[in-house]
Amino acid sequence: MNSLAINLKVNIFATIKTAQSFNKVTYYTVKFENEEYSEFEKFIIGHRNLSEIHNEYNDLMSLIKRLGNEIGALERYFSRKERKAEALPPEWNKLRPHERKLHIKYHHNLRLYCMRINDEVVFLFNGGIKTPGKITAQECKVVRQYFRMANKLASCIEEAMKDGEISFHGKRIEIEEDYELIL
Amino acid sequence: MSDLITNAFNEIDPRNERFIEKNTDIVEEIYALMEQHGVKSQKELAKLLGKKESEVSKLLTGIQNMTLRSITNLEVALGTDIILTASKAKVRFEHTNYMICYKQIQTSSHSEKTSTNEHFQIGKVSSFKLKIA
Repeated sequence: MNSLAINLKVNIFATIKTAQSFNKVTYYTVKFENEEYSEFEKFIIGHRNLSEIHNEYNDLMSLIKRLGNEIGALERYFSRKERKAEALPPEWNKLRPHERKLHIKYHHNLRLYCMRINDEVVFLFNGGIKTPGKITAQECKVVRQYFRMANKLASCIEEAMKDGEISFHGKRIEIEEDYELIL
Repeated sequence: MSDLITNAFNEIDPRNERFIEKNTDIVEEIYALMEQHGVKSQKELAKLLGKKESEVSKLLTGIQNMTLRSITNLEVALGTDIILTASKAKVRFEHTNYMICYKQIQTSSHSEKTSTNEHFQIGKVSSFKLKIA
């Protein structure tokens, strides 16, 4: 019997939101259509009250705040070497340098995926607690979904920047009021 | 901006916030010293320390709990102090380069013109009083 495969490709829309603006860095996030919370809000809600990662969560939030207020989102605080060490999949290496800086340089199990644009602008997405051990983010059942979504979002943002739909002036983003990312 | 995110930043445990503040201060100090001493990369610093670059990279994340031993190893590699106790800092910086600036501004009642006298003095002393004239 012949079978028919139907590819239902549904577009997902997301808007860009300011997550928090500090003296030196403005953090942006994205919010999917029909969802109550943005990606970074979901990260906070999911982790703020977990006693087993109290220090990891509070350290990570402190680092984001410290970079934002005092230091700036310097490249040295965002790593791709860590990713290489975790043997991320080959397609990762095909991405452009700033797409690859998707991961705050943080050597613990709590992962927050992000995209550093420059010293003044960073996108914060969602994340999770990576399974301990030498497995990649792709192999980890918990963070895999956040890792993939962060990749998709980063590609979309990169594309929009290339097309001139999104631009940055200092910490400020320039986009049309009703601009939506289409995934 | 969302209240949820603002509150999350306001509710950070002050112990963790302090830890990250100290940690990033040390990391930034290390980078400044690397520049001063012509150490151009983490790779070069790792070589001076006799460690792998990945170990040094891990140390300089701003979030790693650096041990006193790893800090002193870095001090030896860079040939200078990275951290000082308050009393040692006091002794070391007791003699400080200083600049005293006297500035006198007079406004004549007959005209709108303002005359300014400025006097600068540069030198080295143990203590000084700042005179604002």
